[in-house]
Amino acid sequence: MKNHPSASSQPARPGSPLDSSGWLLAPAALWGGCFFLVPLLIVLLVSFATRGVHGGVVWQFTLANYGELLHPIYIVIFVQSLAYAAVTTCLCLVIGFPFAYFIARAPRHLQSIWLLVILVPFWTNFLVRTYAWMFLLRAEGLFNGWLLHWGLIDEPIQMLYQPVAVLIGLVYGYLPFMVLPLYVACERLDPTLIDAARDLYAGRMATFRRVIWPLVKPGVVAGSLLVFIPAVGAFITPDLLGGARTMMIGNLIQHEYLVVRDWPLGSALSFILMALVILLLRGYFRVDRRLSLPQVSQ
Amino acid sequence: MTRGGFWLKLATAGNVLFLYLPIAVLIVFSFNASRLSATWQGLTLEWYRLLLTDQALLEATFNSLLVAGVSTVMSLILGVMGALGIERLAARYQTTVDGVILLPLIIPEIMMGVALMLLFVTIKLPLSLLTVVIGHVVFNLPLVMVIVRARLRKLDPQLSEAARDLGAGTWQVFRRVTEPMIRPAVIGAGLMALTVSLDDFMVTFFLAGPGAATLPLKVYSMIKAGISPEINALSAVMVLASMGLITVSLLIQRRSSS
Amino acid sequence: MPESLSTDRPSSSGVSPGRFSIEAEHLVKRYGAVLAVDDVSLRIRPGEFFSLLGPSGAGKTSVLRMLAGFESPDAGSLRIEDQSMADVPAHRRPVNLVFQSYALFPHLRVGENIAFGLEMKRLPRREVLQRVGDILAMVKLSGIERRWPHELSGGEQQRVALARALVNRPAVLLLDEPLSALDQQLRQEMQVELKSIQEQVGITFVCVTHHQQEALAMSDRVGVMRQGRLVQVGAPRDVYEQPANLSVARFIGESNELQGRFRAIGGGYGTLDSSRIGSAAIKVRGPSESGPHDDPIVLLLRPEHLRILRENLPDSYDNRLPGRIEKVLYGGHETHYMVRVGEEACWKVVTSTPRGDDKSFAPGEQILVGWHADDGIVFPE
Repeated sequence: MKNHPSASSQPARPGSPLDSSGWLLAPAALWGGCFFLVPLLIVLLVSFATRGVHGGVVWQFTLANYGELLHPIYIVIFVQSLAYAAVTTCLCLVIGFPFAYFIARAPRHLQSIWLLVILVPFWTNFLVRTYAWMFLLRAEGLFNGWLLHWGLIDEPIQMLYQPVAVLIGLVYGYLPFMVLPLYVACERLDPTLIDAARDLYAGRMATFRRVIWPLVKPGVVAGSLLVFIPAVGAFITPDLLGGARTMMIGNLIQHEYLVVRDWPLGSALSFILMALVILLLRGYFRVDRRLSLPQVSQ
Repeated sequence: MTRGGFWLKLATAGNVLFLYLPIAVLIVFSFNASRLSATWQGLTLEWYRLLLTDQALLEATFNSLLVAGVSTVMSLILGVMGALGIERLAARYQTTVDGVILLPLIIPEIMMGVALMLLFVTIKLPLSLLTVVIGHVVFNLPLVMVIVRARLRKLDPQLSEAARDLGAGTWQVFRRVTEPMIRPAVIGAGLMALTVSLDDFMVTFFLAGPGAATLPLKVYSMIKAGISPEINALSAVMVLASMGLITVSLLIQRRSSS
Repeated sequence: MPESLSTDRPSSSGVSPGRFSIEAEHLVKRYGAVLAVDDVSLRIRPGEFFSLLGPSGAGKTSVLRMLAGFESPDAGSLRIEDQSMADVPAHRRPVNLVFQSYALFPHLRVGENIAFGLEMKRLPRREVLQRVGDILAMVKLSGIERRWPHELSGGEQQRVALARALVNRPAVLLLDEPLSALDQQLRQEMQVELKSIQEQVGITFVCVTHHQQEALAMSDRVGVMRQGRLVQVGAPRDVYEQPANLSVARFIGESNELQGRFRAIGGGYGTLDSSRIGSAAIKVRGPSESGPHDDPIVLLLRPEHLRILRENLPDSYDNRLPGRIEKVLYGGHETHYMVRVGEEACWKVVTSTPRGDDKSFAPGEQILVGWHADDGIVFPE
């Protein structure tokens, strides 16, 4: 280590107290502590407290909130959320992979234009994008209009407020999160490796299975996570596109906090959701390290 | 390759259609004269005129801009300082801090919203635009730090050493060497923070008190009240605004990279 | 020209006619408006080490990619081992390619990389392991099956890439600039080794390179490509000593050039009058088809065919031209001199370094440059 004077963790010059301390970090750390860590702590504490008569919090320790979550009604909503998120992730992967691969193989100067094509919807307000689907799927919407016009149906189909509408909304909302990391992974894939596989007698399927897939797997895992995590905690999409039956964890949390005003239960719910996400991420970083290990470039 | 190429192109066309058809339809129908029908009834700018006369909407827009502006500036100041601060830490702490920074960006937004709401209720700070700004800084700050930190890490440490060697003090090194080199990243981070803040619904939803509605909150309540061509018009304006922001940020990036 | 390709080497007499590893007829490949390969015909015999030599953009890589099956020709036909390759995709061809960048799969260990092709052919596990071990021994890398490609040096990666292709026992091994990523020393070692491996396995090697020394050193025959066309095919010595045209001569080896007008003097010889070196008449062997007098011609002289002489000593050289030493570049076993022989002409002369100071020349010295008329190569301009 001594022989690396240009390592980025350059210790400060002596006589320069400004540099030798990380005081510059202090305001940001303080902000994060006060308005991020402390609130999370409060959520944790409240999740073990008792609900007050008028909706407040009574500081009396109880595990009842977590116990209540074992009620089938909550279990169903949890399972349903996980299922929605999982199906959304798979759909995004199947839809997004060819797209990402296509962009990565496009000529350089076109790639940035293609990325822009993804970024425009990505930066468009989520509410607006969800509303767009309400507009298309409603009984008087364009899809029903076309189907009626072509005589395929006699009366409008109920598309909105159905599970399928929620799925469409989730896939639409999070597809860019899948395409971007997949694109990065595909772009990094050396095309001569594909030539090499074909030269070594691998057909189209074998080339995909044995060479392309293992090499883009880090991107697949990253993209899946980026889709799954927001999808499992989604609120807007099921709220606007889903019916009464399609409640997800996010809606449940909102419901408990703002409608029922059962904060302890809402906190327990939020905490379970966060624990789930953190577990997933821990798994990811473990997998990521394993996947990227043999790929350190020469 | 030709067979595979065909399917790839088909899939790509499908993706583009999927991504753009809803937005395009939305915008086209914002000019439709009929209030209810999904069929074309003639061109009108009536819905845009209605937007301009909607006092509550204009107020929400103003609130959004105010919140986005203030929270972006605060995030930039704290974030750039913080990113520079991380540089000065010992290497083993840097990795930890880099990981901790990411937390606010990856936990579910709704979680952040309810947690902050509980905090403000606990310390009895009434919900208002102030609490919204505080909340927005919580997610914009790590965003700025991640972007600026990525840029700082790419800088050659010998550059600041060279400046020191030539007699520059700490502040001068920052002003004359470091700051000009991270400026594109800072501008990019600022635009990103601005966009994220303008778009945020979830955190604002839990933190905005009565009378502190931002644009997304207003849009949400409009949508909840039912589909109307005004929302289409508003959506079209918002789509164009975000496209404008992207264009500006790309132009800045291109200029700084050349 | 294609007809003559198969018969310009006596050793081919033992091979029955029609039995070629590769028969390419009138191959054409276009990329948009660019004609990358322009009517290339080529026959390569079994067990031959054949090199396609040319500057970058000459179309040699396109020919290689057509042989491998990554590109299909726009016109022309291609047969490998008497089988038409028209509808045969890359993964069904009896050829294997050693990629310029090696293209080792980063997610597979060395052993898995080499076994890849055999596993695709669904060979039994035991045979796969056996052959992987054998081929690693052949490239002198025994026991590295468990290592990752990125842990290997450039030279080792190169050998693994070679092993991964050879282990499949292809009819033809294709090599795309095989040594270009290696440093000078390693490059020369690998030339020797590639050649000996090729003799050992007896497989036809087709090598694409822009490095002429490499091509001349390793190959049985060399095909020179320029601007999409195959301009000359022949044994390395023939290509070097009797280049088919000026551009081949300029590309292969170094040469000094002198423009002038030709005047026949009988016996197949003539004189070259050049304004660039004063009035001296230079004796040259006439161009193959002697045209009328006063044809403009170019005389090419290889630096190693020139000798530097002290004045007024008797010698047997046909031509002697006065000059002045401008620069001396000492290079160990040989010494390079830059000699000014005229207002606009500065020639390079290479001699093996003589022992002792007295036999070398110093800058500024007035000398004579001498050469035999038969060593000059003359082309019509």
